[in-house]
Amino acid sequence: MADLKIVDVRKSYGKKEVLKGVSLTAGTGEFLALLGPSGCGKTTLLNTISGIVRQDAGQVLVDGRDISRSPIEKRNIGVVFQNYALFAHMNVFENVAYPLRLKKVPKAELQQRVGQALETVRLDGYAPRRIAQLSGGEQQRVALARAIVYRPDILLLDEPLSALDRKIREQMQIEVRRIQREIGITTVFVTHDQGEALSMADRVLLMHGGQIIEDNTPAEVYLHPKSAFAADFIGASNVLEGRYEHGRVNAGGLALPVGEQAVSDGARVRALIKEENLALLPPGQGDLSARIQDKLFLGQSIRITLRCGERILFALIPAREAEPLTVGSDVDLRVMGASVFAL
Amino acid sequence: MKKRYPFIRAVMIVVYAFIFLPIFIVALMSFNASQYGTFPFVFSTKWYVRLFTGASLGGATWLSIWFSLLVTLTMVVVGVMTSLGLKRSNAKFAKVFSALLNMGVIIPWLVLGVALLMIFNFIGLGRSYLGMYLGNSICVLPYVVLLVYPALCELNDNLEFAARAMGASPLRAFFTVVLPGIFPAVAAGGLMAFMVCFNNFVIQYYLAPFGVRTLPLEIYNMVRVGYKPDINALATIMVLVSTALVYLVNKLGYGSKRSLL
Repeated sequence: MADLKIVDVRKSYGKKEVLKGVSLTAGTGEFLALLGPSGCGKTTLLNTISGIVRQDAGQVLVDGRDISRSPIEKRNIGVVFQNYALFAHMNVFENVAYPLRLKKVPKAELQQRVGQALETVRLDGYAPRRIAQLSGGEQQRVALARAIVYRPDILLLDEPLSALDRKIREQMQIEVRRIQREIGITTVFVTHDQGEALSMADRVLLMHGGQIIEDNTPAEVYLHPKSAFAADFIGASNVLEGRYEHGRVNAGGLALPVGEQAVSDGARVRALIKEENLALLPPGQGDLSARIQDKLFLGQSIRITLRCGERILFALIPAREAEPLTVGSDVDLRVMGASVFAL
Repeated sequence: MKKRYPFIRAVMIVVYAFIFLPIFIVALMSFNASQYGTFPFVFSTKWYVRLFTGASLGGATWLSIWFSLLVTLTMVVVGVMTSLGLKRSNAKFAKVFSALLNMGVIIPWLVLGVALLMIFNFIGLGRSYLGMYLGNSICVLPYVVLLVYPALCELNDNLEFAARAMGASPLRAFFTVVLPGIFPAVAAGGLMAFMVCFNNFVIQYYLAPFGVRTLPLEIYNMVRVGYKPDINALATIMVLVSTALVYLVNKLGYGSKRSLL
């Protein structure tokens, strides 16, 4: 168990700068999620920690020890890859025993530790199975067992759940979190799925264009984003550009009341309103009126397309509340929360 | 094959008949008592007995086997190393290099054989075991690389990284993870190399030391004087051994479904 510190790591491929000076710290036992769109550099950053990619500048420190010049095999880091990278020519037991055999762990201890790791990931009794006989979720568990059995200092997870079905993915999110807490290992988790990042991590690090642009708890990142990119990327938002005046954003003939914001009056701003923060009220009770143009059934919720003057806005409301709202009817809107950034 | 495509079906039958009928007839004649392959068919194993007791082919067969094994084993090692190097080099270099390598397949062996003999004579090597080894190696290496390199590219790089992260040195990771991962291709490459070398009459004709006869040279020598059915027996055994080898490689293929062997 150890803490992790990354100091000003840079990496370029040819002329393309993939990491533009990234720094982060993870306390012992902390669970970080690196979240970002594809191409933001999150996997490259993870690979500089594991040593698969050698950074051009900057340091990776584990417990204060600089490992950034060490080869992969000297770093004592556990990695779970997106497609698991299990060894198909070995059975489950041999896969998990692989790192222990490299370290010449005595036979009795080896068997005990492999058994324990398989128990941790709830795969007791799977030891003699072939990899090809396992389901995706089970393979994921083997990969996890294999990555923790040799007690690495840091655990790195590279989009480990993205290949799984939704149901198993949600199950594995809970499992990964439980296992991580159980053994208390410092973990960095790469994902492009914001739901996964928000539900699993202690801290969400949002990456964009080779930089970490937000580093906060999931609730803070979601509710109080510090940048327009974060506000737009996490959750689905209505984006409006206009001028801020006295608690309102005037955009294209629309005056949206967004509450008092920390921007000066008359400033050009970008306002982001999460779809669930747009409340629908009976006509005459809200702040501005709109007409329902379309309803999109999503299961537990419904996305409503609203025409508001010349603009189209989206609202996400619980399915049972959407029942009486028919396409073509008029409603009033109220903004329940907005993020406003000066341009 | 569905009956809806009678033409394609007919073409397929003709093609396969073209491939297998001669082999079948050779096998049949190897059990025929008649020396000239004439009917009526009288079952006999005397050609097999003569093949083994006559000893005229025994020496040549062993020479061909151990020589081909030597070429195969060394060229499989070189071929796998070449593939690893190609994978790690940049795309432009890999393209040029593999194009050059494939000359061993593209250039007619007749031309290659003559050219090599001239060079070997020039440098004083002449017809020799070493010359024959080098000549056959050049012919065999592209086949190994052609089979191993794509398999290596298809293999997930993360397998090696996973092994390394768990503490394996690059060499250890190669032998425990990468090599098993590409084993079907390596085995197929080895088999191919063995076959190409074993059957390479032309190169051996030009480069074998005087008086040394590999099996293809010996057969050529025999056929030149007169065709005897013990060659049918030999051919049948060679077909059986090859088929068995292909089957074996397939079995060892770790269930690789895409293998065409």
